[in-house]
Amino acid sequence: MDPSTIVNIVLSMILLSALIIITIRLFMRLRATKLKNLEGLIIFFIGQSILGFFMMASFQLGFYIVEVISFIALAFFINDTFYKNRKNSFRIVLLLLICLSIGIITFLVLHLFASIQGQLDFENLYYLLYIYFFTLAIFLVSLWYSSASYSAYNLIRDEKIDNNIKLRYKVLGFSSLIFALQGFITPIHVFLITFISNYNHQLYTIVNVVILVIFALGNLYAWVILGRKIEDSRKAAPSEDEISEEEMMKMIKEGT
Amino acid sequence: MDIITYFGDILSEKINIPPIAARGLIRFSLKDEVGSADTPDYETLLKTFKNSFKNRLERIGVENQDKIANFMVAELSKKQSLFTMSSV
Repeated sequence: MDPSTIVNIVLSMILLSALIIITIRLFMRLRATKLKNLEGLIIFFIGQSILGFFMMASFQLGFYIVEVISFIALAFFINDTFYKNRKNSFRIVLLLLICLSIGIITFLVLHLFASIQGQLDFENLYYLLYIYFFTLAIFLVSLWYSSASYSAYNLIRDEKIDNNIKLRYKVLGFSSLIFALQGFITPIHVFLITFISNYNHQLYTIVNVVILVIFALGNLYAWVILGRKIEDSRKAAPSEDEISEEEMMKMIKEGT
Repeated sequence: MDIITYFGDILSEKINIPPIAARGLIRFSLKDEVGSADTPDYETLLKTFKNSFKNRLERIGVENQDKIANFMVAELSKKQSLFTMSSV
């Protein structure tokens, strides 16, 4: 085994472990908090874990389907967490993702017959369409996630809120931005692999895994490590004495 | 971070009443709306600010209750991600 393959395997193992830990933690928090919006994020991480597990395998149509479900679920999470009942880009993002998915599936079905007759290299076609979908999906959803996190952080940055919560917004914003880099490098990789005969794709594979590892570790820090700290500080906070309705009324009358 | 404490402090500044009274006002409004003030979710608090909170403001004689309720709805809407970020 050459060194780059070993590095790739080690990074893939780190990636997969981080994704599984995040998924388990989020699932536990979903059960404890009943926050329905977490379901979208859990589906996204399950999808990414499946893709991470098969990272070393050659491309399959199933990967495309997992990627579609994964990004649509993440779009739902962003909408339900940051923009519920607010004007936002959710409908545009979702519409683009769904149109693109339907368009590509229709295209694939129409070309299936040509492939059966041996007129097309169907495997390469799958791969190219997967890349087109992936590039658009990753740009739309990751940059939206990043901007939602940074915008929400800017609203509370000067307020008296647990610093770990503020840090969580920043880490999520930054790691999503890193994740979006995949949308840059993947089309470049496809271009190089198509037009340069002696192109070595090992570099792309490693850069790709490094981006995913940074994203996964960022999310591990935000959802698991900071999550524990936020939980501890919530438990440590002194419980406030509740006042009676009469006391409240008296205070309001005196205060207004 | 407790959500009622957070929005109570915002209300306290807005209508110039002690923070503990503002938090109490939100708690009692929640109890009017859904019967409990324990760990409200975003939808419950939104519904509360639009209905029972406004009624309570009216009952205690606070002026511009529509304006204050709308302000609280807007604050809640902008900062809704805190429900997830502070409890997951």
